[in-house]
Amino acid sequence: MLKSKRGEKGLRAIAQEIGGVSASTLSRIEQGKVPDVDTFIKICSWLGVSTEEFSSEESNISNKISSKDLILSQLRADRTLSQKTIEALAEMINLAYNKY
Amino acid sequence: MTVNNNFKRGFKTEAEKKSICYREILGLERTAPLPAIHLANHLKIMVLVPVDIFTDGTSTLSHLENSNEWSALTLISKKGNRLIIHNEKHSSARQESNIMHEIAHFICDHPFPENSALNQETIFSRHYNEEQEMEAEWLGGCLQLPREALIWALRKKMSQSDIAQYFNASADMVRYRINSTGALQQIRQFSKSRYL
Repeated sequence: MLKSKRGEKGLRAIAQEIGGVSASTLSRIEQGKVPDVDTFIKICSWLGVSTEEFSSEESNISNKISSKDLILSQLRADRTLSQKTIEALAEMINLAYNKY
Repeated sequence: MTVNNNFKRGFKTEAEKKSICYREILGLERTAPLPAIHLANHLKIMVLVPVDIFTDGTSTLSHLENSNEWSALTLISKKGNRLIIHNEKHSSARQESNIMHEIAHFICDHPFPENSALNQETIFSRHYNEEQEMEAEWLGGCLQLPREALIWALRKKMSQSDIAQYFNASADMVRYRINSTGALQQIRQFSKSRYL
């Protein structure tokens, strides 16, 4: 799907369009390598498709995402979150999700 | 805060109407402050802080309560309830703005996947919809400070600081709303026309 949408455009140009993804990563994905979660979401967004499109038992990515839907938690953070804050927020969100 | 005019046609007008409409529904004057918690209660959105969620006093709770790194977040719980969790460490005006922004996401019907659970990678992939963020920013500001209320306040010769205090808004929010609504220009035009 990635290859057909990019058409004649080079990987560098597409990487720039997607943002936050390198041309070499895109090349590996086109050769069949599984992207990490963040890259996967960016590519789905650029393709204009839901992550569910790639739902399959064989897909490692879809086991992480599609087996449970994505919650859109909208964080307004003033600055880059520290790892400790990320972990704390994740714990809080999971607790709140189950408690309320 | 960004001033941006790339909204869907009619969005800004609708936002101002909604702001006035909610005031009327809640029995408030059109130019009155609208406390975010009242609007949340009306919309059946639960507004929580970390201590509501952690049953024991843990180091995680302590860390979140003392952190300035986060402001607010929204989610739909397993039971389908709409939740806003916000940071009480921020100033009252900032909290108000944070909660209004999150309420705005719900009012705009920005999609939330249902029955979802989370892992750290999905929450913090930084994947968010810019258009939706802009809409929530605009509507959140409208809800807090509708144009009509701004004009009323400026006509009463309230200073920006007075306006901020009255509406429990930050100085930045007042400045942003005055600049982006053209309220000051309207007041000046009105003053000029009186002398023609």
